[in-house]
Amino acid sequence: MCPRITLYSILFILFFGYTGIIYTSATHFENSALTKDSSEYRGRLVFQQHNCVACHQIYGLGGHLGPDLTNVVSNPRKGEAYARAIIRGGASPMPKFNLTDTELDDLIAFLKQADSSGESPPINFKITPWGSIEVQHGNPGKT
Amino acid sequence: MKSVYKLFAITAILCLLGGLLLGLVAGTQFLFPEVLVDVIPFQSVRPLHVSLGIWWIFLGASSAVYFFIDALVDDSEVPINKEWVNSASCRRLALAHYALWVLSGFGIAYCYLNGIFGGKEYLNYPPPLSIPLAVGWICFACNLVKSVGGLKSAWPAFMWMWFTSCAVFLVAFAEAHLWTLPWFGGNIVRDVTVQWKSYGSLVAAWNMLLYGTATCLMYFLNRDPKMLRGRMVFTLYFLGLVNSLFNWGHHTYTVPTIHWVREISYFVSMLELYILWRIIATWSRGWDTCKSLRCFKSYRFLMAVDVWVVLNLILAIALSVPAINVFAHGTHIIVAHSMGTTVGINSMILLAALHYMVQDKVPAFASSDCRIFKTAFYLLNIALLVFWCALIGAGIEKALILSADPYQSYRLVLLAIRPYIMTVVGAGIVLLVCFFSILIPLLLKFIIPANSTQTAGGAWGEQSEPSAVNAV
Ligand code: HEC
Repeated sequence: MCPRITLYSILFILFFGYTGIIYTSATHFENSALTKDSSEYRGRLVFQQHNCVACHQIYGLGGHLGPDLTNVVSNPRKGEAYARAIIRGGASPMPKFNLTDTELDDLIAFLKQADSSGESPPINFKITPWGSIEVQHGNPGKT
Repeated sequence: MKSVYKLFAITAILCLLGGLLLGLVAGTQFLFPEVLVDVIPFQSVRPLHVSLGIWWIFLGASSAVYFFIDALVDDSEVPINKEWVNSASCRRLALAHYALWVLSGFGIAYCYLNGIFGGKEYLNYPPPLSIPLAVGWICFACNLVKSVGGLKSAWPAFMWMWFTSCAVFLVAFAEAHLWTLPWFGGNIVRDVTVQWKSYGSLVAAWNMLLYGTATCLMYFLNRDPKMLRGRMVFTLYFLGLVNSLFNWGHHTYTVPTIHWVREISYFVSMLELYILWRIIATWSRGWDTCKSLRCFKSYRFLMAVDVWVVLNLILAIALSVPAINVFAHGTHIIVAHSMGTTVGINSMILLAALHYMVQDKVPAFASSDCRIFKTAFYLLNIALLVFWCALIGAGIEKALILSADPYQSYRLVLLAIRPYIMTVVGAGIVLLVCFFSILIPLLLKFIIPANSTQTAGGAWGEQSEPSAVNAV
């Protein structure tokens, strides 16, 4: 076979293999929220429907006008009650959101799922000699 | 396709003008949250600003692709299916592409303005609106394949870049919607990882579209056959492809995936350096051989691209190192990176192409020897540099505060970065004025028929065919 075709074939095989691994086993984090009726799943939809990511981040990914929310529910200075209050009442520049009780509960369940999956920013990360990092998996002891 | 490219170009320029204005609104709201909040709140401004910027890139690049395919019809070096390119079906397919994109664009803008969201970051609109966008891409890809006379002919590298860009885009775009399936959407780590895997490929796909356009433009500027099938352009193509398939991991360094995903990403990110270095090396050699082109606006923009590639390269190197990335992540340094590449590289390539496209019809407009243009051009680049540095400054400030105390009140963080954001907004206003003074004349050249705008004299007199550059 022509070397060019071989090269491109290898590239695509690697891509599909790697993609398969990413889709199935790239994380140790497993949870029971895999159905559409779970509170966590509905909560992430509420998060998307109000475009919270325009201002907030999860794992440092998102907007910059508000704080990262990955660990807000276990933040010693904030916590779940604080999160509930601020989502209900707003705090300029954060608008006030008129959510139903269920929507708010779902949103908190989603934030708890985020919190239990890891830390952001990873405070306990270790820097390796070649400049990489070791990120903590899961937050044992948290919800 | 004779005039369809104009539709794309005009709409692209309008999107950029709108995007710039909304960028200013977003920046102002960052400092003064009450400004226009009842008219258009921040959570609507941000996605609309970003979308308009992305639409500018895609519509502008499509315009350039259609234009260049048309312009290549009589070029013996490039296999073009003349019959197809001159046919009504080709034009209809391009029009369908345009109509589908504009339709979904209006739909998306309507949703954002009315607070209707539902998707993920950057694709915040309700997911069904993605369908016409994807179908538009399919029309574009089919048109490309047909225009080059099928897969059997020897395509130049830029054709491969354009076509690969379409293919990668479609796959990555589908992937970006996997969150709608509970297997992905229900597991936050898998969800974020797959989301950013797809976004990495989407960005690489549009870069490939633009690098293809830049290579094609270089061919038109200096008629160097190496730009078509040279070893170097194909090496760049290959590395661009590797980049689009694997180089997404630096977005997810901090996400708790299994460890080796991070290491693979680190390694692949480093390949990016090679790609960018080659781009600079080839292009700067190219510059030496065609200094005589300096009097063209297109050429000036391509020179600016060179500078911005170098600056963004340095930032990209830094951000690809996980130990640095972890501090910079979630700060305005990432915004500097995206602004530097979309404005400094992508937009400059497009401006070069669009100026080339009108100069074919209005040669006098090609000359960069016009005081308003020169002033706007230099000021634009200086303002962009200030803008870029101020964003990096804001990022470093935030990183320093949060690494000293990760639980620091966010109000204090916002207060500390305020002077930087003020500089960003100030530089943004200058950017806006410069862009307007470059874009409005360009827009008029696309809107008003060529013979009514052509000025006598000027650098190229009244010569209109062949193009001014070919005459050099
Ligand atoms: C226009 C920007 C904006 C939007 C949109 C927004 N927020 Fe906020 N949010 C903020 C800002 C700014 C703060 C910090 C307020 C403060 O510290 O006084 C904040 C604080 C919070 C906090 C407390 C976190 C902390 O560490 O202080 C939570 C929880 C929160 N937001 C959740 C949400 C959710 C959920 C949504 C979507 C339903 C949302 N926010 C939408 C800007 C926004």
